[in-house]
Amino acid sequence: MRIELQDIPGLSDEHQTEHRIKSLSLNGADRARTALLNWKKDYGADWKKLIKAICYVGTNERKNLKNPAYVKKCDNPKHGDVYELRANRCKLRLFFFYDPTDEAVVICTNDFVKNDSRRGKSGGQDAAFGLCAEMKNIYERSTL
Amino acid sequence: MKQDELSPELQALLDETPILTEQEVKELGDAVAALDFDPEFVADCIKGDFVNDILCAMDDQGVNKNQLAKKWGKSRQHVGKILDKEKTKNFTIDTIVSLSMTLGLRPQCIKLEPMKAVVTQAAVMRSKIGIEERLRLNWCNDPNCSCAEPPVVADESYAADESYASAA
Repeated sequence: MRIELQDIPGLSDEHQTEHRIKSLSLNGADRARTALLNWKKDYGADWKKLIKAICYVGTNERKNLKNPAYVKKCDNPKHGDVYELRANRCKLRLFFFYDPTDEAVVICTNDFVKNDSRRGKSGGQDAAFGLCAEMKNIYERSTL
Repeated sequence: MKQDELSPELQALLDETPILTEQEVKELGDAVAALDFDPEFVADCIKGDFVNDILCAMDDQGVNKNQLAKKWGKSRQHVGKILDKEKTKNFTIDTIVSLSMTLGLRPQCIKLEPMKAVVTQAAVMRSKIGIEERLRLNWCNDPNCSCAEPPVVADESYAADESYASAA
């Protein structure tokens, strides 16, 4: 499997002083960047809020990420150390994990839109966390 | 499950994800970079940083919201509004200073720095426009200047203007 880390385009160094923000691409499928592109068109205001959350993670040390309005750890122990980027009154979620080989790198994996009827019952938020955990495992195995 | 085997859910997710084109990546890049010139976005980032600094200080000092409210002489609800729903809250400088000082902190003065130009598609297009036109549009006041970027990135409306596209 081809596993690559891609930059979030347009995100300046000023917004990544503590963490480099990357997107995980599996066999060329880059879910996080695709979501960001689509959200820009479909959810303009919420997209802006989510980019702000990305900047928040980029500019703060991990121990200082205190605001649960932007970052929330998955509370299902089954999925392990995976997180979601969010914002107040924002339907969009971007899932991520910290690179086990370099904690200064945040790797975004997949997306979720709250109350999105198109996803149906199978696409719940916990399932999205589960996909993030699976992508994290794939990435971790590739770095061994 | 074997090592390289994906769950059906992940396989389905990857299958439905189109490969991004260079143009799409550029489009996303331009949109993200343009946010640095959006006053609302920049203000929200500064507000978010302030709230985070207050939350860190509370954590360091072992102060909860109730204790902070008491120390600050405000209601618990007021503190909650500031710290939980900062996006809808417009802080006055008085609020920033008094809340910070309640926690024994002194906010630094707002430091002003020149904005960095962003090379968007529109900026590239502008750079190809002749000097007379750039002077007419007040982009550059040096007739000998051949800089590739305009001094100020304003709106992107020129990008949509076909007469400028044809000039490029």
